[in-house]
Formats: sequence, structure tokens, C-alpha cells
Amino acid sequence: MPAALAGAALAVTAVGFAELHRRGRTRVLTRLAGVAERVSGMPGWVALPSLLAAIAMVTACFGFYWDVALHIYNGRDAGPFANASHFFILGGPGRDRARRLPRGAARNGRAHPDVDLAPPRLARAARRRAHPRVPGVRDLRLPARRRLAPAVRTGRHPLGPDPHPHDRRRVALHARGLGAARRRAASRGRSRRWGERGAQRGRGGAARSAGGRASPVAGTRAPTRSCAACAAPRWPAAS
Amino acid sequence: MRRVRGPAVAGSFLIGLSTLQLDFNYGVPQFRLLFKPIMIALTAGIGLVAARLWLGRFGALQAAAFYIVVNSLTTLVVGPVFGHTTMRFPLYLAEAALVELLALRIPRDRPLALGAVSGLLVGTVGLAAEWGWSDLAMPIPWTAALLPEVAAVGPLAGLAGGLLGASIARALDPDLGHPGRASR
Repeated sequence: MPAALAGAALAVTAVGFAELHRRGRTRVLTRLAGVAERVSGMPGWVALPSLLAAIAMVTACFGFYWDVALHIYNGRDAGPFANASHFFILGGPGRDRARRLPRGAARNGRAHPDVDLAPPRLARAARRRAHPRVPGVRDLRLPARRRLAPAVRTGRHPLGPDPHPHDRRRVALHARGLGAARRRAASRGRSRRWGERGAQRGRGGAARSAGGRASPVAGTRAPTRSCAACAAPRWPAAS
Repeated sequence: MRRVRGPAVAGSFLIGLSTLQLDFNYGVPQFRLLFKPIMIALTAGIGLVAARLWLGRFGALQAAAFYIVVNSLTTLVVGPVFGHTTMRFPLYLAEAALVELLALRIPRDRPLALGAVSGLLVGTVGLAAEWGWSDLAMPIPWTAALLPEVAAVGPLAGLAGGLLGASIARALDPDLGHPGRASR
């Protein structure tokens, strides 16, 4: 009975926390994801759950070893809170459950600190302009044939069939050459808006000179240098 | 941190696979002693072959090192510090060295070949090394009566483990085992 109550309390806390995060009422998860991202080099939405999972597994492993050593001498005991080692075993998977919640929330496209810490209006705009390769997210200014690229439909995109885990806004800019065009314009003393207009008119070859490796999506280029998350090694790690 | 990530994942895999040996490691077995070498060969085959293929050079040794570090710390706290039985565990170092040596000769685009050959060697040479370690450190040393059965079943267990490990690595890395694609 105490175990059921404790479990229910933990579940309510975790779900409530995730709901607050999704509504943008708390930035704790965002900050933690940012820290995890800086430490691990992986995108925050995967770095934070991985970190929690690692802590949970080590905790549970320690509790398990301790518990076995205890039971060798003591025989059976009564219930989940009967000895101290059980708390570690319970704490491990409990944290493992908890880590799943922020991941769902992070997938909402708000996981990246850049987008997430922006004022709500900017963040919404960034999401609207999200990458056309992400299924379900459409950029209406692109021709229809490019809105949902074949690579996504077949699941063969290098970033996987899931929603793009990285900073969608900047990837989208790169894919259309706008980011490169802005930087070029700025380096020539022009305004960034000037470069953007040039790129949209198809002048200046911004999209062509964006200089990325060829993207599997027709008419776009993969970002060469984007957010820290994009520079992270592909999963699985290279040798 | 970034460097530790891969070895930590592979080492954790090894720890997870080794959990089944816990009652032998504590000296309170509930099953036949023959199961211990079988589980060692299976675990080493699966975990070390997958680690070597997935992480690249020294991957198997790194996984074994992570396994030894985490298990040692946990064991030291539970045993001497808390005053319970001290767990002894197989080290997998000889097996990891075998996998590393074979991986130098067998190209990366033939993962199943690497898995099969390493598995066979782990089930013979590797188990011989673990036999020595069991005499030195384990609570219940392996007896000579076990030898014929281990010689018959050990290579089989190693072979199965190695093939499984190679398949796991192939599932994790789609580029593995496709000679046409760039190998990493």
C-alpha cells in the first residue's frame, strides 16, 4: 500500500512536470537539456534522457548488487521498503520512467535551447518555419513537391524519419541557403536582410554556394555548420 | 565525456549481460557450475564482438575496462564498506584481447565472420584464461570434471554469442557488412 501511494505520487509529479514543460510554464527541463547537450555533444532532447538513464541504471545496479549480498545472509524480507538497498532498485527504474516524459515534451520542437529560450512569439515563428523535410510540418512557401521530401517518405533520411531533433529553424535556413546568404551579405557590409532577399530572388547563388555536402533531398543542401547538435556524431558513434 | 560515451554504453551492455552470473559470482549458485563458462562465453561473444564492431579499434577492451571499473567500485562499496560478501567477477580481458587481435585481421565489412571466429576462440582460449582466473579469484573454482563438458559446449556458446554480437552491431550500424559502402 505505501508502495502504491509512493508510485502514484511520483507518477503525478512526473506527468505534471512534463505538462508544465509542454505548456512552457517551466524552463527547468530546457536548462537541464542545455547543460546535458554541452557536456555530451548530443542534442539536448536525447542527451538529457540518456544522462537520466545512465544515472538510473548505475543506481539500480548498485542497489541490486547490494540487495543480493544482503539476501544471501538474511533470507526473504517483507515488501518493497523492507531494506535500504530496495530504495536504490526502486529509484533506478523510477528515474528511468521519468526520463521518458521530458523526451516526449522535447520532441515538440522546443528542445533546442536557442528556440526554447526565445520569447514565445519568436519560438512560434521558428516552429512555423520548421524544416520541410519534417513530416507534418509544412513550409507553404516551398513548392508542393518539396514539402514532403522522398527521403522522409521512405525513411532513408540520414537524420531518420522522426522529426528533426536539432534546431529546425537554422536547418531550414541553411537548406534554403538563407543562412549562408545572410552571412555573406554581412561580411560584405550589407544588411542581413539584403542577402536574404537576394537568395530568395535566386540571385547570388546563395543556395548553390551554401557549400554543404549534397543532401538526399532534391534541391536542398545539408547544413555544413549549424547548431552544436548538428555537429554531433551520428548515432551510432563512429570509430 | 564524449569519449567515454561509447565505451560506457558498450560496457553497460556487458554489465547487463553479466547480471545472470551474479549467484555464481557471490558463491551461492542455484544451477550447475557448467552454466558459468557457458554464460561467460555467451556474454563475451555478444558484448565484446558488438563493442569492437560498433566502437572500432580497442572497442572491446574499452567495454571490458568500463565493466571492470563499475563492477569494482560497486563491489568494493557493497563488500568491504558495507560488510557483506565480496563479489568476484570474470574480467573478460583475455576475451577482449582475442577479439581485438582478430579484428585486426578480419575486415570490418565481414562482421559475421569476425563474430564466428572470435566466438570460437572466446569459447576455447578465452574460457581457458577464465579457468585460470576462477582458480585465482572465484569463490567456486572450476573442477577438472567440468573440462570435457566445457570443451564440448564452450565453443558452441562462444560461436552463438559472437554471431549474435555481430548481428547486434550490424543492426546498430547499417553501414556494417556492406562492402560497397564506405567503412568507418
